[in-house]
Amino acid sequence: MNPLIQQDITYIEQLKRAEANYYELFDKASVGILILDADTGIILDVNAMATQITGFSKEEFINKHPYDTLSSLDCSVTKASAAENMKKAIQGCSVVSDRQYIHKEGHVFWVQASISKAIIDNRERIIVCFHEIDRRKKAEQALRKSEANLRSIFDNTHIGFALLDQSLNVVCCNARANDWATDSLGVELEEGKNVTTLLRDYNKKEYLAMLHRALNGESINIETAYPLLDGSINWYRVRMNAVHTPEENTIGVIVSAENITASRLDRMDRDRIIKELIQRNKEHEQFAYIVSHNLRGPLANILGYTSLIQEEDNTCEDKEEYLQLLSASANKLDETIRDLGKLLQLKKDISEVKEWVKFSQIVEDVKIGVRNIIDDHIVVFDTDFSEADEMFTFKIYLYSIFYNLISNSIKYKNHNRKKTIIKIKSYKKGNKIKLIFRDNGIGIDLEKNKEFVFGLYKRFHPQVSAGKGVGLCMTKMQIEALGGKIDIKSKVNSGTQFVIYLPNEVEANYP
Amino acid sequence: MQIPPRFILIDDEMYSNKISKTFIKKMFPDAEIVDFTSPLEALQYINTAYTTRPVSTAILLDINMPELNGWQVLEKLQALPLPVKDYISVYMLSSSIDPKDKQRAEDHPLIKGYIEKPLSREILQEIFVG
Repeated sequence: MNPLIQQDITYIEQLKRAEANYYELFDKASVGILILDADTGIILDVNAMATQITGFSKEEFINKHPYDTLSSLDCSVTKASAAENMKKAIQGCSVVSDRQYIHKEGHVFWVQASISKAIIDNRERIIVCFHEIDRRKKAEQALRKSEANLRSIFDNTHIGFALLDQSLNVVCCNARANDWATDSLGVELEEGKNVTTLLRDYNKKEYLAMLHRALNGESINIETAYPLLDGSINWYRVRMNAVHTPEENTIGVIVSAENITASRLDRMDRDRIIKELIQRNKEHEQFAYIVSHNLRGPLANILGYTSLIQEEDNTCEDKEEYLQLLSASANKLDETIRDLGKLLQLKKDISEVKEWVKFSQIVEDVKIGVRNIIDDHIVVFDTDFSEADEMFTFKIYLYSIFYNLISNSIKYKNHNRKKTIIKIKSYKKGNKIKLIFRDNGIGIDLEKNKEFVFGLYKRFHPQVSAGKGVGLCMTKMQIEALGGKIDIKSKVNSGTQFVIYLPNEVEANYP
Repeated sequence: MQIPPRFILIDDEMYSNKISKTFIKKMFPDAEIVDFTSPLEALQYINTAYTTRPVSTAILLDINMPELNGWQVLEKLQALPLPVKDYISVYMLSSSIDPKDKQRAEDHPLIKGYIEKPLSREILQEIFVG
């Protein structure tokens, strides 16, 4: 055979093999391919995947325009942009776009198509390659929807969220957090603003310290109060937690705050009621104690004399004497009941209105009240109310407390001293007011009497003063009725000191 | 139970002492009755009289007293030498109906009994005659 012919045959075979390879590739490609004539836009060839994706057969495509067979939901737009893309492709640009078409069976599907120009058999052709992106598209749509859902939850939840970066700049926050920031800081939590400059002075150091602790990995969970710009106070449950990358690097801190003002106020209310009930209960116990110890004494005497009068061998003188003693015991009982009435008057007084009372003014009032028990012995008042001179309370109680303690200091003065000194000083201790009364009087032997000091009819200096033993009992009851407590220190011949704690209620509403 | 030849009454309340004294006199005319409104004086009496010539004695002791209360008097009695303590039986005589006082009396080794005021024939009969 002519080697030239031989060469030719080989060339043709090679060509044929190449064409077969091409068709093999063309039909087995995992993308749909349409080959169009560049001039007319008519489909020249369609591969198997294209018919599989669209549902239309090869015959339904060949010699037609793509849009004779394929239709889109918005055909006019798609056709126009397809023509535009085709033009670009002819000019040499490759165009990629996502499109939605209607399958032969009626459902809608997404494809990503690329259009490019190619020279096949020396002619310009347009190659359209497309693959189905339906699942990806739907996943994207679902993601967008769930993102929108999350956003709407994020913005509508009752919890405020703010994400801060490591330098405490605001990265993002939800609407609630922004509202609260506006109410209490007077500024919006704009992205990029730094919390260090946003916070007001109120507990600023503490909050910043907490944020830094959170950045260092500590989980912060506190209940805290923050004053609003209008002066009212809101309670928040605040949590601060570090935010990490998957590689465990800290990239910021997430702060969440829940407004718990209502429940907090409820709880404070409940605590107050419980405290009041405990107090009432104590008073009832105290009352039972008084009845059992103080009322029964004179009554036992009345019973005793009643049975003595009924004895058969009484003389007239005996009977006369018993009757007198019976009457005296009855009077004693009456007197005791009157004293108790004074103590129980406490209950009625408490219905009075609380007011601002100045300690200095009370002392001036008491000085007038005790004038008649001061003899020629010198009494010096040394008072210091510089730390706290005012409290919101029942004036009548406070007066009575001051009166009893001051008059005791005067009654039980030490005659060996030139003058009696009564020192009264006030302190602010958290949400309490502490009052110290100190004198240089004869004192009480507390080793013997500690448990009886505040009992009714307890007298420690019967030879010094004709007091009945009601004063300190009443003082204690009044202090307890105000929610406070009293303690005593004393040394015989050296003096007595009373320490009183009273709740400073107005301040108690603040943390 | 033997009727003690001597009764000591310690109660700051005169009226109450009078009742106890009268009933004891009526019930036990032979017994000697010594009464004190001051517990300190009573202790002084016991200290001097009983170290030389002790007599079998029932002490009726009040609880609520300003000078020394009944419990404090008991402490002082506790400190007496043993032979003296053998002669005395202490009974708390109180107007208190507080169960805590009664319990405390029952728990005290020196106390023979707790009597609620007023003292009466019935109580004396029950305790000292049986």
